[in-house]
Amino acid sequence: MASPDMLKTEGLRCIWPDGTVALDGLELSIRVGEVIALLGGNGAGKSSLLLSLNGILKPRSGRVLLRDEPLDYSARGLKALRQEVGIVFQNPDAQLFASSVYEDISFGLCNLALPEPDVRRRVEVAMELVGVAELARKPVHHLSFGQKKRVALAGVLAMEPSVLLLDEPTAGLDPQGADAIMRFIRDLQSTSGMTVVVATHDIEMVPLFCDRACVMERGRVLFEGEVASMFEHRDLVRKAGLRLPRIAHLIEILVLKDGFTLPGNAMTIGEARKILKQLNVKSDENGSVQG
Amino acid sequence: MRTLDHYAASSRLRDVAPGYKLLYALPPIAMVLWVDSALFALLVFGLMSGPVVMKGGVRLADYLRWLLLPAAFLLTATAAVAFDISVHPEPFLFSIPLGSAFIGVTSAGFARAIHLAFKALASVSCLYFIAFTTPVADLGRSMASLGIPALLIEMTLLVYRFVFLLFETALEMATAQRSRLGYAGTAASFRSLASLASNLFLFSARRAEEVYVAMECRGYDGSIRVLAPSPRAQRLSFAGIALVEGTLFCVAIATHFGRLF
Repeated sequence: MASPDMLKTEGLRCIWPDGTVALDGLELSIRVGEVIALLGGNGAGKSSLLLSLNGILKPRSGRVLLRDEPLDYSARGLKALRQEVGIVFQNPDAQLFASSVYEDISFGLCNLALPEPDVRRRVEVAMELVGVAELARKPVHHLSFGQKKRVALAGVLAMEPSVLLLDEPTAGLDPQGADAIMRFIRDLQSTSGMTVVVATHDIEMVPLFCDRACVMERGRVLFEGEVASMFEHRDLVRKAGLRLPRIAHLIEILVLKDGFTLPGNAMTIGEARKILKQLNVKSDENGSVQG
Repeated sequence: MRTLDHYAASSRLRDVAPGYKLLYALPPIAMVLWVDSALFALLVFGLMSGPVVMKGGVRLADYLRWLLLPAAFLLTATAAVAFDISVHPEPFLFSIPLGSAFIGVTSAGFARAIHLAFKALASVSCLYFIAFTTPVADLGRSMASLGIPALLIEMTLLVYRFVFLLFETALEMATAQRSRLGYAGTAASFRSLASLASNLFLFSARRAEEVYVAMECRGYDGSIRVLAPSPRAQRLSFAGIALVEGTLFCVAIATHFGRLF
C-alpha cells in the first residue's frame, strides 16, 4: 500500500498530570482510508493515544502530524483539527450532555458555526445513518446503552470528519449489536473513504473489520502491520497481554501439537473454511488414488 | 413507577407550545390562593386534571397515585390547622383533656382545614398539569424567550441531564453496598451512607472532567449552542385560552365576593 499517511506520530511522549507515562516514544503511521486497530491491554496507552491524536493531550516531547503537518495547538488550530478528527468515547454518558438526542447531535455542528438549515440537514442525515431518527426528541437518559452509543457516534459523524477515532466501540454491547456497529463502520469507511482508528480489546473483530493492527504495550508500539501478519508475530501479541483470535489459536494448536500440515493460516471462520476445504479436496484426491 | 419525566416526554400535549401551557396553568394558582372556596378549588382541579388524563393520555390510576405523594404532606399540615387548644371543652366537636386544657377540633378549624386541603390540592394540580405535559428541556427553551440569561438555562438543562445519571449511580452504589450488608445496622448504615456520599462526589468530579473533554472534542468554546428539534409546536388559539382564563377569573371574583359557591 503506497497511500500517504493521514496521521503520524514521531517519538510521541505524553505524561499525565499525576506523573504516569502514558505514551513513551510512540511511532505510528495511520494511512489514508484504512481501518486500523489499536490493540493493547489495560493501561497500554490506547486511549491516551486517541486523545493526543485529537489534540486533547499535549505531547511532552515528539509530535503528531496530520497530513504531514505538525498539529497546531492554538485555539483556531485545534478547532480545525477537531473538525477533521472526530472522537467517540467509550462511555456515551461522558459524551452526551444535551437534554435531547437532536440537541446533542447538533452541538458539534453549531460549534462549526454552520447556517441553521445546514445544521438541520446534517443532523437528520446523521440520525438516519446510525438509525436513531425516531429517537430525535427523546431525553438522553431514556435511551438504552446501545442507543446512547449510536447517538454519540451520530454526534461525531454529523461533523463529517475525515478521521474517526473510536474508543472501544463494541464494549458493553451484545454480540449482535457489536457486530452491527462494526459492520456499519466498515461500510461507512468504504463508501466515504474515511480513516478509522479503533482502540479495542475485542480481538475477534479485528481480522473481520480492520486492515491493519497496532499492538501497544506501556505506551510503545510492539507491532504494527497487516492484520494477517499478526499470526507470525503472535509472541508480541501475547506479550502485550492479548491473545490471538480463537480460530487462529486453534490453527496454531493443530499445527504445533497435533502435527497437521495446513495450507495456510486463518484468523476468521471464513479463512478456516477455505483451508479445511482445501484439505478436504486433497484427502479426496488421495482417496481416489488409493481406490 | 415511571418518572414524571417519562409522562411528559410521551404526553400527547407535549407538542403544544410551552408558553400556552404555562398561561393555562399558572394564573389559576393565584386565583385559587386568593379565592377561599373549596368548590372553586375543585373547579380548578378539574380543569387541570381533566386534560392531563383525557387529552394527555396519563392513566387515571397513575395520576391518582401521583396525587398521593403531596397528599401525605397535606394530611400532616392540615391536621395542625384543624386542631385547637382551649380551657373549655364546649367549642370542640370532639376533644381530649390534657391537664387543665383540652385539645380538639372545632367546626371552624375543621372547615379551615378542608378549605386549605382543597386549595393546596388544586395548586398542586396546576403544577402537575405542567409537569405531566412539558419536558424540562422544552420548559428551558421557553425560558429563553422570556429573557432569562442563557447561562442559567444551560446550567438548568445540564443539571437536569446529569441528575438522572447521579441518581442512577447512587442507586447502583447503594445496591452494591446493600449486597455486602452495608445497611445491616445503624453504625454500618451511617458508615455506608458517608462513603456513598463521598464516592458520589468523586464520581461527579470525574464525570464533569470527562464531559468537559468530550465537549472540547466537539469544538466547545465556552457557550453551549444547540438546535432544538424543528418546532412542531401546535399553536392553540390564544383566544380560547384567554376565554377560559377570563371566565375562570370572573368566577373567582364572583366567588370571592360571595355571589357564587
